[in-house]
Amino acid sequence: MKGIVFTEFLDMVEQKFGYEVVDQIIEESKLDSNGIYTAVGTYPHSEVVTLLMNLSDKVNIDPGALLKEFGKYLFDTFLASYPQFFAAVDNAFSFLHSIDNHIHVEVLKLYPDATLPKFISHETEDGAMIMTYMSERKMAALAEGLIEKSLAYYKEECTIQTENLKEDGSEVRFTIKRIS
Amino acid sequence: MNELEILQRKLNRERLARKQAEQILETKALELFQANDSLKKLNESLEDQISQRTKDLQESESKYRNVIDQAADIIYSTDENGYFTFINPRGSDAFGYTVEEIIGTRFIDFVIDEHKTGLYEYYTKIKKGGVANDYYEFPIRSKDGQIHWIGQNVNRVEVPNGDFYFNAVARDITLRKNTEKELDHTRQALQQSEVKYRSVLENMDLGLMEVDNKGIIVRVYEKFCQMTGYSPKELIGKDAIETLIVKDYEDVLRTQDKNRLERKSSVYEARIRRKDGKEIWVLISGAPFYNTEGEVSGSLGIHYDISDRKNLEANLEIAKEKAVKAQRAEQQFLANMSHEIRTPLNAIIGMSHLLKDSELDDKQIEFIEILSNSANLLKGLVSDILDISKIDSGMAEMNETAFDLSELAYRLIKTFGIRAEERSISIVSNIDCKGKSIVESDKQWLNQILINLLGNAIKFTKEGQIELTIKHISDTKSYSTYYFEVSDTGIGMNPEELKKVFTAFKQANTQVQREFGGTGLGLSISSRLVSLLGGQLEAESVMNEGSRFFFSLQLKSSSATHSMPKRISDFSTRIAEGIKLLVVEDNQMNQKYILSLLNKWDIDYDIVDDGLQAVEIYKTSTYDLIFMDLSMPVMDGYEATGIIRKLPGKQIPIIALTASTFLSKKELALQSGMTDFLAKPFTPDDLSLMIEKHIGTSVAIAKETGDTFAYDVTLDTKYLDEIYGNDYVYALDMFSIYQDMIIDEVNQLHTFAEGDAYADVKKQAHKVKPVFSMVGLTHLTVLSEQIESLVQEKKTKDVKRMCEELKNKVTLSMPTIEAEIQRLRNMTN
Repeated sequence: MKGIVFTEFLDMVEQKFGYEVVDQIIEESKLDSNGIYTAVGTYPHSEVVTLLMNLSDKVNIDPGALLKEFGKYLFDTFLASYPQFFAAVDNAFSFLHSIDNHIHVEVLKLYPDATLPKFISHETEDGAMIMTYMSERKMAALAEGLIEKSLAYYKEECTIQTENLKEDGSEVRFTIKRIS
Repeated sequence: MNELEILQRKLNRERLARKQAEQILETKALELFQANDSLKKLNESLEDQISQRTKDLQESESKYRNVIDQAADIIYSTDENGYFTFINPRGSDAFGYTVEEIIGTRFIDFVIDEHKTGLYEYYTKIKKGGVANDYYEFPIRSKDGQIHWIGQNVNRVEVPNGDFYFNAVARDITLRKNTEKELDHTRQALQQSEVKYRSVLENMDLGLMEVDNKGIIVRVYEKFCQMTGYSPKELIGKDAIETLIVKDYEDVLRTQDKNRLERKSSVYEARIRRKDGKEIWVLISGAPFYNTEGEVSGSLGIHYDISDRKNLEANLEIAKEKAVKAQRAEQQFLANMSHEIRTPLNAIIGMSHLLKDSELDDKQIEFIEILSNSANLLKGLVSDILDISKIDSGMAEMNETAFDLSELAYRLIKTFGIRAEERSISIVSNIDCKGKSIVESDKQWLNQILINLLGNAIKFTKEGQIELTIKHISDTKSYSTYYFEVSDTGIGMNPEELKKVFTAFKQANTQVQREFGGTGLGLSISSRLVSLLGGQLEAESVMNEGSRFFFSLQLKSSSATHSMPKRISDFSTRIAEGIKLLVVEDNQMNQKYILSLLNKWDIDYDIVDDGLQAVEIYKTSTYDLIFMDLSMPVMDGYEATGIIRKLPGKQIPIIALTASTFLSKKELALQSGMTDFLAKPFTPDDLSLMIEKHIGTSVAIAKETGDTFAYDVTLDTKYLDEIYGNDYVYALDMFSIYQDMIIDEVNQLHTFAEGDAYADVKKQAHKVKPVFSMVGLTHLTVLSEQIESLVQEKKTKDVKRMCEELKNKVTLSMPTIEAEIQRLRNMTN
């Protein structure tokens, strides 16, 4: 997993709970990397899971909610670092389509070894958007946070319905409908 | 303390993370360097490869360029907007512009305006539809303004960045296009002409039908169907002959079909049976037609319904037959009638003469006169009718002799002059023959024509003048054309009368007939005689002012007469043995003339002076032929002949000898039973031919002396040559006889005239008339004839004057005759 996920995750924990919590979960987690991450490095996916689970224990918050919150946090980072992706389109649905079609294509050019989730999106006849998340990392909640923040960014009011297509969470369908 | 530891750990983590990042970046940098290095190496190798490939490409390009430059086809490229980027020399030739002028211009600018839209659409199709390769033809205008047709294949060539351009291979197809255009025009013209002619044919009353080589109908046109009553369906596929042709004409049609196969066209008539069974006549024009290989593939028949014409023809044929039969019957009737009437008429005339000599009182004499006049009139009428029916039935024979037109005219004027004087009208002649007055024609006919015309003129003219014109008009090698005219200042005719003037039996009106008499046949006979001589008698007239009758004739000229071979010198002497002739002639000179000829030819003969002697000697001797003078003392030729004809025995030929030029004399001679007619004066040839004609024995002819003799120019040398030829001994004889007798004869004539014995004057004149010609004094023969005529006209004063004149002229001519006798004597000794 790309180092940016770890650095941003720990930045969020520090911002929300203070560096004491960051220090505690690193110490408790007994990680191969000893919790030393750089954005340009690559680290095992398991470490972020361990850190997330320990954080959940520590702050007594559901890991899914934490992950969703991380998604929202990550949106702001992306917006700041890669504004061109957001300026290219003028509405949320177009942006969501562009993740799999455009943004991930560009990411892979820079980081050919990156493992990215797959998003399959299409619009129904009544105007709703169906977006299916597929990843062995099973981090759909992070995606949900990103989606919510995207809708907010384009100032669109929508309902998001989530449905597990596989029990292990490796395939999740989001049904996004505009409220009008 | 705890916080400090945490802070220390955080700091340591940050430091380690930094170092880790630095480590990663350093590794990345090294990787980058190495990658860069290997890239550099790769680049170098690539450059080598590229330069090698470029070299290869250049070689290949130059190879292809060569091919392109020398290609017979136009090869060019344009960018996607149609701007030229390349064109080979052949292309520049075709456009007439240099390569430099073409590159950068738009392809479409060269195209003829009307074709720009089409070409634009074509390129748009290729561009949008992604057609890779297509063929198209269009015209361009070259620099010199000529139009060239281009046919091209275009390739749309895509380059990797998604752009494309066009490669085209084109060919100048102008020649082919022009040929196509010409073919098109020809085809169009053909179509138009076919349409035109078909519509023309369909609109004409012509039925067209086409058959194949086996005679099976392959096509019929509407008019033909109308003509035959069949529908096209009923005809197509059928045998034309079996279906349509009437049995009798099948063979005709089969022959025609054979002609078609031999590429012959023809026109013929046949009968067609219509569907309704009715038969029609058609005129068929048949012609073969050919397939593209030029072989006969069938024939076309154009049919024209001639049934109406055929019916008309049939009717006309019947009508013509009827008319011909009717005409024949009429001629037969006329001939019979003339003959039948003539016999009793002769009896009437004869009887009235006898009656006149008996003792009668004045009343009876008057009746006899009337009877005699009427009978004579009737005889004239019958004569005319006989003449005209002879001419009409083609039995009139032309008898050509040489004669002098001037002389003819002179005699006519003299004859009619006496009659004209009686009526206080003058008669003038206007003769202009330009020295070519000797012609060869039928003298009797021409004489009769002019007598009729002059007679009419005198009859219908009470005062003024009558003019006879004879003019020489023109010459060809052996013919001369003469114009004849008789004009008068008489009562004239209105246009309607003029129209009928030459019709038989039509006189102007009944009043004319009462007032002027005549049969109304004179002009009709004259008109027919002129036609027989090759001319046309015409008339012009103004009522109360006068009439003009005229015609032109082409007559054998005198030179032609001269060039005719003289029989006399063509044959050697032959002897007609065993025949005997009787010559009945009162004129001593004539006797001497004939006898000397007969002696020369060794023909046996008897000679007597009058008719009575002839009858007597005929009863005791046997003859093969008689020459009979008409006017003789004691008994004339007519009477003698009549008696001889009634005697038993063989009917031998009796030939009339007369100086009369009148046709009626000949008629009279023939009527009285004579066989033929010999006009005096005659030549030895005339005489021998007459003998040959009636006995069939060749008679001839003169001794040749080899020398020629030129008669004195004041004499009629031509005539003298004709009658004597080279026989100058004979000529000397005749001149000597003349010298011995003529003075006495002329004195006798003069004495008769002085003693007012006019009947004797006439006889004497008639007797001496031919004698003068025998010594070449032709003008004195004419003078004698005039004396004869003047006696007839009872011009006693003139008779006396002319007899005096004749006597003087004879006396004056004697020294010439004596000189000729001397010269002839010198010549023959």
